[in-house]
Amino acid sequence: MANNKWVEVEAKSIDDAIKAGLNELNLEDATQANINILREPEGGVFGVGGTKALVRISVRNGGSRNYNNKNKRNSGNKNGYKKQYSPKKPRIEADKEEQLKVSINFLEGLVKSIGLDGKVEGTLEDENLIVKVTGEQTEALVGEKGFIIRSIHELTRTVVQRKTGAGTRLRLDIADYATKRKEALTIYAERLSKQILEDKQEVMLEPMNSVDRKTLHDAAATFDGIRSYSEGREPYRSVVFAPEEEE
Amino acid sequence: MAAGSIVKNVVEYIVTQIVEDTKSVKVDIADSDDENVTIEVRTSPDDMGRVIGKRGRVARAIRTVAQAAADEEGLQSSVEFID
Repeated sequence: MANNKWVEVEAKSIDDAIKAGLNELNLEDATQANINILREPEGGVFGVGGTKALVRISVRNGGSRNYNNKNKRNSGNKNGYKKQYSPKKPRIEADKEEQLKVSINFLEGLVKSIGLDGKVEGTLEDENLIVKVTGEQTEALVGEKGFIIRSIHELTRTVVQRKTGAGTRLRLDIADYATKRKEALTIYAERLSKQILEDKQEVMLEPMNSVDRKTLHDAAATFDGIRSYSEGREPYRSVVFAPEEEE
Repeated sequence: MAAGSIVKNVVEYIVTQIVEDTKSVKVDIADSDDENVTIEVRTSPDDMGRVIGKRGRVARAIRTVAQAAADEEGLQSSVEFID
């Protein structure tokens, strides 16, 4: 994912790790980054000995755009200033319409090559490409627990990246799988939230991909008294639902 | 149609979409019987990295989709990427 540059940093404290990570990613401050604390520092005196903090920092989309704009301005300077070296390839500004076309073409070809009868449609929503594959037989492309749909998603993104030179935010739905999955998870989150409000105990769910985790966080946000966070490392990252701490 | 030809076509299609040098793509059925099909993928050396992807992610996705196609033919597929 070109627009998802990230680093993992180990340091004595969480603050130190974040500082080092932002530096590494060329970011000015933490508002341009998504920060995941993977491990809190433990034990030791003043950070000596014990376990170090581990933090994963990725470029937030807004942040990465700023960074690119800056690059563009620099290169636009009247042939004066030229960088000695560029640590990163300047990202080509994505033409979303073009990316959408590439995605649809690729998926149409794929469905056809497998010999299935399916229809591919796409729209643009904000920065996101929304692509839907429908047709009775296309359920074969979902797979158990969405196993196949995830691979097709990966391949579509790879092809778009390859042909347009830019990363993309793609939402892919095949045979309504993503829609149904979202509905089911939201209902589940509702039930779970009620139970947590009664039991006052946090619950860690099974590891899920980022799309499912986002659905759960969104659902948790609609319940008073429930907070949610993610824990663990990909691909075993899990959502935790917890009762809001009482003052 | 020979057994495994759908799988071959699917793999060929995906790989061709990913590489730079489409003319060097060679996808063959190396072996097939009633139950199994083995597909071999060759590309120009520069393209093999693209086809395999970071930590083999793209290769894994290709194998998964190849198996989905093989299911349509009632086959077990294996896809080998040859350097």
